[in-house]
Amino acid sequence: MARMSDAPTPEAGPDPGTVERFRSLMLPHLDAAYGFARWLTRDPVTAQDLAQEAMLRALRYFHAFRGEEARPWLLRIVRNTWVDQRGRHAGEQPLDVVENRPAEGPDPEQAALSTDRRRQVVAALAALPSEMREILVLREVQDLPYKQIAAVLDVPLGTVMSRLARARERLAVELRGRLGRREHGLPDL
Amino acid sequence: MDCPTCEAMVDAYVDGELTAVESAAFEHALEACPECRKRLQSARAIGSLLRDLPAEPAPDLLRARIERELRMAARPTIRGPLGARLRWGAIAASLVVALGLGWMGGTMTTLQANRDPDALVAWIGTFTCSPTVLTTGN
Repeated sequence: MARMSDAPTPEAGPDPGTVERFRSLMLPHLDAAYGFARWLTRDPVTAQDLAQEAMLRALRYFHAFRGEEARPWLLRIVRNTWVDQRGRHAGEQPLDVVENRPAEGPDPEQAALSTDRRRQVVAALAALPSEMREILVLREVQDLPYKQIAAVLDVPLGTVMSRLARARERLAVELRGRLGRREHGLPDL
Repeated sequence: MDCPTCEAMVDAYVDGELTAVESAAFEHALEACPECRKRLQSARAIGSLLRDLPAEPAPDLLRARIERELRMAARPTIRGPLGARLRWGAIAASLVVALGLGWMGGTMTTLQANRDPDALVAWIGTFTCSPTVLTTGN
């Protein structure tokens, strides 16, 4: 599958019928797009900007939508938009600093209201490198099958399997360090 | 099934990505592999902890921003033969107006050059305009 950002820009804007079709097919997945953006960016304001830009990009490239599953199609655009944005802002905020800082998780307010266990799980997931975080979110939060995860990330199926196994292992290590055994239910490996 | 093979199948098994035959083979191998049983338990625990996280819906503000963008994108722009006819019509109308204004300007310049107020007033009268507007200073 070609990168959306590499596709030629359509000459004219979408006609009203296309916008209506886009609205009925893609808008129901806005929550999923925002949720994914939230985990990618780990910041509510940046996530809104990312989700909005991704939706507009999706509308621009909607002519390339061939009736496949709408949600992974949209999530792929969210991710590509994020990769492009991160590239643009790489000079402003070095990636290693972003990846290594102890993150608060997607929503500090919500986390404060939830149980300590949930807060710790959010923090542990947010602290993972983005490559591991995104694949865990696509599998466990977005509930996508391997084939769709491969399409979203633009990687072979075998990479999805190995990366997912590594990500689970790493998250288990993080959680063992943050939670008591009774809370995480993880065996010692 | 040896342990590395069994271990490599843990995630696919948990995620329901194995065929029925593969699943049965994995379950059989699992009985003899305590390490893989631990990995399976770990993968399941991770899954249930992550699925327990509350979902966060898109904020109303974001939804409103996108709706506004979609409304703007959906503004009716007439396409096809009718749109083309309308566009050519608009171009033709602009040309008529431009030529008319050019002709009017030329005629007025001639009249003003002759400094003949009566002729100017009469000329303006042909356009049913009020002469008081244009005769000031002449």
